[in-house]
Amino acid sequence: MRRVVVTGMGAITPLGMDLPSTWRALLAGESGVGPIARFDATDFPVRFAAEVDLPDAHDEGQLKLDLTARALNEALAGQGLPDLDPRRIGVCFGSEAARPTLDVVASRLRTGHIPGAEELMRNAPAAPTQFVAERIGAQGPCWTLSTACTSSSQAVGEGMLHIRRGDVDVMVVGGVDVLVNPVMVTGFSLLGALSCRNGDPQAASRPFDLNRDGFVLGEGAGVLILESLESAQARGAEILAELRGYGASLNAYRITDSPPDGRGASQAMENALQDGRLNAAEVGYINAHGTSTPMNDASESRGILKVFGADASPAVSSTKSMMGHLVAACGAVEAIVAAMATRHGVLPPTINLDNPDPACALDHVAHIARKQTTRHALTNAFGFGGSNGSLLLSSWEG
Amino acid sequence: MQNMVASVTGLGVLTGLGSSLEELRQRLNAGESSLVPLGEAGWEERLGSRVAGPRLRELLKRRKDAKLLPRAAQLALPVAAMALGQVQDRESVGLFVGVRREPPDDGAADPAIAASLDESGHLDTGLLSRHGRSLYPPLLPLQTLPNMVLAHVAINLELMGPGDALCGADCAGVQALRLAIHAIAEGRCEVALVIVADSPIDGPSLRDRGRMGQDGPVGEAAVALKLERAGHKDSLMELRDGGAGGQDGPRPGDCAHREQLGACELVDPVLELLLGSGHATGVEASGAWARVLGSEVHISRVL
Repeated sequence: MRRVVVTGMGAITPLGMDLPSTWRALLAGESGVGPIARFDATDFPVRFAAEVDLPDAHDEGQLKLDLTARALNEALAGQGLPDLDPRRIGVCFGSEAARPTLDVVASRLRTGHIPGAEELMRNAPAAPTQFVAERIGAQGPCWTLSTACTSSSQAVGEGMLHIRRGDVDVMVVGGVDVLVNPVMVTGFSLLGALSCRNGDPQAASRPFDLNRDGFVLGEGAGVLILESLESAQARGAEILAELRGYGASLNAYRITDSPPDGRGASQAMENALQDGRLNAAEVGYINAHGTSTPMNDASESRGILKVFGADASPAVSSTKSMMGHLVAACGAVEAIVAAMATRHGVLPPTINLDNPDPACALDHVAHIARKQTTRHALTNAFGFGGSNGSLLLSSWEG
Repeated sequence: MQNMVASVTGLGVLTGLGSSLEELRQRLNAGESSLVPLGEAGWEERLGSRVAGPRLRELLKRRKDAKLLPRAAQLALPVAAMALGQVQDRESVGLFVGVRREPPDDGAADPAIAASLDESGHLDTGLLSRHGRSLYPPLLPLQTLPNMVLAHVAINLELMGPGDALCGADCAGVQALRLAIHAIAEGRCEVALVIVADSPIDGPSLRDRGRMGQDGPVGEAAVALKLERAGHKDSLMELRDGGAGGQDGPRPGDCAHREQLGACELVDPVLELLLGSGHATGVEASGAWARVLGSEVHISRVL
């Protein structure tokens, strides 16, 4: 079986406009949550989010492409891509459709304006995939996965499988999402999914805490350059991590609810371990999905305990406590975080975890980062609709 | 690339010309057409092919969920049940779905927006919060997620294996089929269900197609295939993923039955595969920007 390694990473998050600044903020336990700046949310039930500090783009679709471009540039900045036949390079991205801004919708209602072909293409779920393929000249597989919050976790995993089976030598994988707009804030708050802690936004995202009340909308992009080990070694590339396993499952439960027994989550983690040919005891860290909703965190905890045993929980943290929920981008960004944890031997914390929920009895990395040599890390992503993805990353030891 | 072959052991087909492959083939061969004027407001003269029904009551675990299903999911659920048949261990069945785009909101949010416009017709977020919000359909974010076909089929048929939703425009159906063949060939599941379903008959889809220069007849359709290990005793046909570079199949868009069923670009290649040509071809990420991207991919029936 071909081994797959990571030779480039880029992340644009509410904590920083690149990976080093994001990583520094994560280790410092900083919060990227604040009052919504993109629109006047004064009268909204939820008035805060984790926004990326970008000037206003023409529309949401354009903003997604801008974020994608920045993350891609960073991922390529260090070592670029190997000099290969373009058919040996593919792209796999997780994203969803960009919604037209409210002004655009209002304009349509007022004037009958309908979007042009270019705008339609820019807002389509596949637009970031096509944008990346165009930028790097990829002529291999170009896939777009759209499974809500699991999208980019599955994009990373499917990208790995493409290399493993020999379709290509390099896959540029990742995810992007931009949801901080009046429609989505309205929609998610009507669903009861968002934290309403308007008085203290930086304390709003509190995964696994007894007083958690919902997630914080975030936005961002993450890009990883995946490469076959042979290709990376042939060009003398520095290997940042090994992507070792991928597992997916379906909950078959409800559209928004997680099964209380954590069955889908545990199945995805078990599949990833099996795929990576590792025992549960060999995993030292889990970057949890940890959304800060009452249901997700309890269900995920149950799943973790089922896989690892009540007395053998690896260290667990949810970086959503700091950067909010990046939705379709979270899987890729959190895979990068897990890779950084194995590379640098330090685990980012879950902030705001003041009163751990007894239903989430795990080995939490609470409040402050923990120095811990970790060879293998799992990262979870679970989505509306019941899609689950787990990735297994390992430090590279030659 | 490994030898990627899988057996098709179950089929479900739903089109304007019948609810089985045999019926569809007979009616196409008899020269029947299901195209009729759509009659939608603003699209009265446009021709299209609709699927009658389908009846969902027996297939839903919770009948109140019927209002959550976008049209593509309404079409997908019965074909999925048809193809799957009596599988004992549903918890390990993989599910791979191709969708063209996210389900359109069909103007459902328009009343909320209309109530949020100021006197000059511009959007006022204060009005949206105070007045428009109460008119906003609370389930709309869920109804317009691209993975809703995957979700509703998994929930109602209790499928818990690996699952993915591909959303790569017209090629997503062929990609879902590829993914399922890979999952079977690599042993990631014993049974995989592939679903390709689309209904381009709604205001936003027709409007968007018009902007893309696609003004011909449209049709809604759904196909599901149950895949198992190559050489299975119940095999109806064997499928091989030829990967990139296949050039001997029909080009995407060359579909023999469009005059009778209308265009359903997502489903058409899979119907072609089943009906006669023996090929499903797509171009992954085909030319949306300045130049043609990605590879042509090719799935063929093994003779």
